Amino acid sequence: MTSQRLILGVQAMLEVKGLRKEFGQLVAVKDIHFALQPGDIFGYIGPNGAGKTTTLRMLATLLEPTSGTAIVNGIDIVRHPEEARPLIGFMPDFFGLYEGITVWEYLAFFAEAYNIPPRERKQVIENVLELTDLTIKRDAYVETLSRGMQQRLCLAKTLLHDPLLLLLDEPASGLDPRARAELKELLREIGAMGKIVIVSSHILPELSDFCNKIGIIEKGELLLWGDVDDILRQLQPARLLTIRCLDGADKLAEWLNKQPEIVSVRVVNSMVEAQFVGDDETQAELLRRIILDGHRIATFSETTMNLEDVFLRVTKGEVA
Amino acid sequence: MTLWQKWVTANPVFRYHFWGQTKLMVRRPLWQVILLCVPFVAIYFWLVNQTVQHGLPSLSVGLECLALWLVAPLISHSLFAMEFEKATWDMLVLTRLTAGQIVMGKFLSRLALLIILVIFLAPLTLIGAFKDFQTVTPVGILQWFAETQFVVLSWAVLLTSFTLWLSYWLKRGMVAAAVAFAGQVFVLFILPVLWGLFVALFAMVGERHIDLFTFDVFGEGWLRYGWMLDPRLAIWAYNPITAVFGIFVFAAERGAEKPFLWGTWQGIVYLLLSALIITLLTRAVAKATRKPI
Repeated sequence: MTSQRLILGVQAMLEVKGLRKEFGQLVAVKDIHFALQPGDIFGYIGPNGAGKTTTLRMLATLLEPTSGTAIVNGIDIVRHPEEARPLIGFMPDFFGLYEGITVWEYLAFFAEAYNIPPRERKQVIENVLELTDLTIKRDAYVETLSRGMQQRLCLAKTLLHDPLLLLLDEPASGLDPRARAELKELLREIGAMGKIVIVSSHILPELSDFCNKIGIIEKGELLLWGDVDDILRQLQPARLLTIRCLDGADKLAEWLNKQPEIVSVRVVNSMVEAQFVGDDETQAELLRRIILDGHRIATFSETTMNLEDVFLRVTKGEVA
Repeated sequence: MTLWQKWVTANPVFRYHFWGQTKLMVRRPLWQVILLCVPFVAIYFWLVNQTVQHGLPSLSVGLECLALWLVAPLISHSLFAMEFEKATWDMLVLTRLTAGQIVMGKFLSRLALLIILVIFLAPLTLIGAFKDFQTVTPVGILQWFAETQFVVLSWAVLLTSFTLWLSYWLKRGMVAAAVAFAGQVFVLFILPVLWGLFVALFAMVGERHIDLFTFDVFGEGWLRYGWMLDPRLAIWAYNPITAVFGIFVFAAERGAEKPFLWGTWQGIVYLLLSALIITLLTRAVAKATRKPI
């Protein structure tokens, strides 16, 4: 499958243009293109070894691409990495924390390292502590924090300099379900602030709730990217209706087969599954006609594809 | 911004490595700090007492050499390696700190600790010298003291920069420490012995014999001024143990003619080498991270 259409509008804050990384003979990332705008939360999906981390590290200016570049707010990250860095926040999948200092001291260290003016530091640190719900832990030593809290602290550190582009590599790995739910909520808040967030993961349910765009990478190649809804529509041109009829599925299936908007019908475990082409209006009209025809309907629902279905359909399970 | 501000006062890397752990100590209850300090203070006063009583400044210089040259790799081996081992390096790279601030912050924090150690140990040497050097004038004692401290400290500085360099390239703290110690043993002990044997072999086949085990050779003829340029003497002359011992010999025991700049020159060479290593390291970090110097 070829990559998606590329919208490189003037408003795009991040433009990735032909980014490629080779390690000797291995091509880890193959000429990928995509563009994101403020407020976008981009789920970067791929199996282990697909090239997600390599892409993020290139975008974070930690790895020099073999060719191609990315433009963040008009700054070329390859030609001017030091100018681009203040615009970028990167949270690696495996990160460490300086030990022997408190949460506050840790953030103060990075606030100074990010050249935040001394008179603003206190307020900035308080703000990120509040955003990440770590205010209560401000005097705790970093090594005493739980994994989830360390993740939050790392995120707080990443947000200190108010980056426009946030790159989060597997942010939920190693977190318990509660910490994951809290992280999701936090990322939603950050997205609402108008930042671009790129979240890489191979755990799809954790992305599906808050990403408005996704990209799927496999074997270094960006197989597709775009709006989640657009992708679902592309991959599932006909909508799938699941209907439970109290009068028997076969009779309803026979009736549905004669309707022009129905593409195909099958009966699965006494439920009728119908491939349907049309909008919500047509769908409502179809339901009205079924009932008027005398069928007793217990349930009528549309089954949509989720990210997992998309991922499984698009990828082949190969690594770079 | 001046270099002092850039590298020290406005450099969080320097502050973290210099104050980080100390801050932790100070925050503990006062009685814990006192309890921890008592053994060190007791040992210190015992040593001062012993040295003054027996008048052995060479013992305290030996102690200084041992302490500084052992401590230098120990406190430096993990400064870069720790960043890689704990995966904090990427975070540091993404900040606005320059490569120079990162390298100098780490280096100067260790230099400051070494200076503190010298301040702690040096009085012992000075008191011992004034007690023991009966034939040396007070000015001579002070000169001997200053030269000795300079050589001991500058070798420790060279060791620190070398260990930092190893820490960056090897990315493993323990390996860096092991290589630094092994390198030091080789340069201080094994290499001079091998060179001594080599010179002795030449003497056996009729070449002019240079007795490296006496210091007279450094003060003979043109060598009095040109000793620093003679490659036959380099392995001995630039060995810090020889340098320190020479300072002692020329000042206290024989009253022999001291070669020109003996002691001071070795210290300068160590510092120049250290500066070279730090410059190369800064350039390497700047290149790898695409950061300005």
